[in-house]
Amino acid sequence: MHGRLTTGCIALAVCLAAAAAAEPLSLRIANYDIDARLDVAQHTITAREVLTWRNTSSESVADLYFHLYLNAFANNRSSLMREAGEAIEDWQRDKPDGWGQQAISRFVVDDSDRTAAIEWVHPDDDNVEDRTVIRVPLEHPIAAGASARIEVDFTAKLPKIFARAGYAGPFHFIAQWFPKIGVYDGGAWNCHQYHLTTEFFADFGVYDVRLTVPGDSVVGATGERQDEHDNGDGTKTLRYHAEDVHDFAWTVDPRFIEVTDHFDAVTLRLLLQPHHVTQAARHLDAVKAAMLRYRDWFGAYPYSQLTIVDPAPGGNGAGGMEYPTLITVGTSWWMPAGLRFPELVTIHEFGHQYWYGMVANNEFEAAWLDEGINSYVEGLIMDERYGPQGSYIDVSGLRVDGIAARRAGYLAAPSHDPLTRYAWQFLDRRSYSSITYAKTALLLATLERYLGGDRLRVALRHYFERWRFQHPTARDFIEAINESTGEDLWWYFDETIYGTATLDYAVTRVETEDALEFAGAHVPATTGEEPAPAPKEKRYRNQVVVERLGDMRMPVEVTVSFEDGTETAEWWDGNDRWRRFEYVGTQRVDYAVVDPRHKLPLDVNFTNNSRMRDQATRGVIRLAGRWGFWFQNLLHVLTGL
Amino acid sequence: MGRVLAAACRGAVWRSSLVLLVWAMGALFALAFSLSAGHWLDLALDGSLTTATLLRDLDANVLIELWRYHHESLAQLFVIALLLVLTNVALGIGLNAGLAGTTQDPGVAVLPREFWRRGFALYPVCARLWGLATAIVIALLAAITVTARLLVRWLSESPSEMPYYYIYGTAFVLAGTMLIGLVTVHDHARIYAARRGVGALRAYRWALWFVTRGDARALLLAVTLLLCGGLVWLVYQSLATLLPPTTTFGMNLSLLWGQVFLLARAFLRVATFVAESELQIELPE
Repeated sequence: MHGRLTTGCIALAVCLAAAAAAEPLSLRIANYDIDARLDVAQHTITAREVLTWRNTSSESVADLYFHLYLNAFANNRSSLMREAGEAIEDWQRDKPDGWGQQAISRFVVDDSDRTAAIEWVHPDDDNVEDRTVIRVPLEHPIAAGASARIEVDFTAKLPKIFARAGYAGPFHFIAQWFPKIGVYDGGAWNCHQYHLTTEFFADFGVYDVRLTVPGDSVVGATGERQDEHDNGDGTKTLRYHAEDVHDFAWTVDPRFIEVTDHFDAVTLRLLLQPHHVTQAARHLDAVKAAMLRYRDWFGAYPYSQLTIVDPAPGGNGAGGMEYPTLITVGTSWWMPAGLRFPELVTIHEFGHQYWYGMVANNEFEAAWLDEGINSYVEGLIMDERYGPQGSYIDVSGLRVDGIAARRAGYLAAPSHDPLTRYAWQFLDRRSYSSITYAKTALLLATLERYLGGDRLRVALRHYFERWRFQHPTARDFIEAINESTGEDLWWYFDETIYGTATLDYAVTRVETEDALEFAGAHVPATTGEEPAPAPKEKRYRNQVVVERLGDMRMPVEVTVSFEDGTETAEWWDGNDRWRRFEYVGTQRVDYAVVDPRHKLPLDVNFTNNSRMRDQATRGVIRLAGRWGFWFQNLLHVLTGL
Repeated sequence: MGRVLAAACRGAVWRSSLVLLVWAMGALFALAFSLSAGHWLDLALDGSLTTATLLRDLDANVLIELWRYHHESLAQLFVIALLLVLTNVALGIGLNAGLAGTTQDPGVAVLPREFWRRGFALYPVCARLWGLATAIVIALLAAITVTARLLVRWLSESPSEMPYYYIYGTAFVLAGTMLIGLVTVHDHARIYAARRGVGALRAYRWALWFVTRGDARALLLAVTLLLCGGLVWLVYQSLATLLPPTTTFGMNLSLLWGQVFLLARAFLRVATFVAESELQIELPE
């Protein structure tokens, strides 16, 4: 009886575990079933897509919006190509036959052929020549809670790689390749055009994709490979299945060298170019460091597979990208160990499995939510694994860590745009990158130091757990952080996320003068009080002025150091434009530093954070002397010519 | 070859005042540049603690901010550097002319006054020779660069990235070899012009013949002296890394050791002229 009960309990537990495992992680709104055939000679794809879309809104939907991303590469009139500016001229000159495009030959919604009803729309700009979004009016609206079956026959011609997708020789990277439904949100379609700086936004679902490719192809794709069979005509068909993802990308190259490894229960599949095989360990080490930290800090990677793709020469435009369970990295044959670009790209792109892959914010409208948070965490992992100093670059005495790397980016354009600007509306690409990646990472690093301990990390975990497999906004992020920390941090986020103010505290005066000796009549405080004896030692009156040069406010620490090595720590709420600190005593001030422990990485100028009473010269002599030495060498070579 | 090298060393020792002169000219210009750079750094760092911490920590943040906030004045520093280079090159023509004119008799010591007199007298022909040699070097370097770039573009569709490295690697080796050859030709042309009093074109033509066909030892000597230079660099570098640059003593020692290295290079420069003269003297009329 007991044995039977135990067996029954185990069976029940197994069933419950299986049920729990099968339970969807997301709402699974957009579910795709695709049959695609790749012609590697023509670089074309012929495919049939069956989309089952669920209307989870509370109203019926009268039309559908789809992305046709590849049409951004159809000609130089698309919004993406217009935004590319001079880059497109170089690409066009080098690759005149490199255009790509996408065409729908049949569009049926619940047995109603809507092919003729397709119309081009351009919701973001007035570019009527942009062909990256279609609207399909429906014969019968889709009722709230109902599902629609949408069958689409389409062909795609891949471009020579310019941005993200396309081909370079036998290397094909196929992303943004199928007509992809927009996100119905708040009573309207969110379906932006494809821009140079924008990435993507889509609902979660299940993807079941069959890919027919040449028999010698090595294929990498989103999801798990279910089966593979030889068609007997020189081609093979592979079936991939992915659940709770919001995109599907794949790659084909007969030259890929496959290296497999494991982390926990996850299979790591590294597809390397032949000349990069010696760097396999660098990629795997980096991705494992990232997986370890992400698992411990935020939660386990929920998929069984991760494919890491190394783009071919000429295909670098496809590098450094993220897709569900598949990332592209990038390296070159000559890559010194001290230049950790392969590592940082690998860690960054893996991070996107969390910030984009699972926490699926709208990358068109709030790219900082994935790029910026990811850059911040990437810096933490890089510094921990390869640093702290020189974690990004450690070459010939030059050491660049996470904060310095981000500051280099941020200082390029720190105040043109707020983080909340839509990705294509930034002043330029420099401002986009500076704000979206670098400023976000720095504002989080500053917040981390302000909160202390690992409170920010805990708060990010809370944000991750609250919003995984959903679409959070900036407000959702801020509320999650406030909720976790128990603090109202709107004052901070208002300035850093919604504003363009910069943070810059500076020590502007360190002055010392002899303290005035007493002169005049003594006025006793109480009757009979004798005047204090004149001090025997010389006394000084020191003043230190700290100014707020930027418009952003933060409380700051100030350290004042005296000649005898003693230090005084001060605190200033940082609200006023300036604050004076005065000291009268036997010691003169040596130097003063505002934010001595670099708790404000957002500060746009570290150099003015300190000031010495008497300027030191040894450091300057060392650097100038070294430069002089190299200059002398140069002169020697030139004179010898 | 051993005899030539021994004579070169002896000749350079007897001309130690010229070695000092060659070193001093570079040092003077370097000092001018260091003072300018120091002044620029002083202004840019504006009394911050960085002026002291730079001694022990080359903080990337400092470099980032120097670039971000002071790139305009940095451009001015580059202009100063360029002017110093141009002046140095112009004076260098005279310096090399003096060396070419005073290495005819390896066994005879030369006074600096004599050196300047001969350098001044040979300046016009050496200036023309410099113009000719520089034009040839620039033309050939440009040809190599353009060819390499065209090849890379032509092979941009190559399925492998290795051609890129092969092309630029070959171009680099080719340019380096060509530069060694052309510098040797230029040196011999200067010495020949000084010895025979001929014009620039004729001297260059003769030197080209001499280096390529006249005496096989000419190139061998150039390569040997280059290797000697490499050896000196290795000795310098292996000791330089041991010096503690984060103390005032270490910093001064490091600067001093650098000057010793450059003095050795100046010695090699004078020795090169002596050795090359020796080769020409040995050539039958």
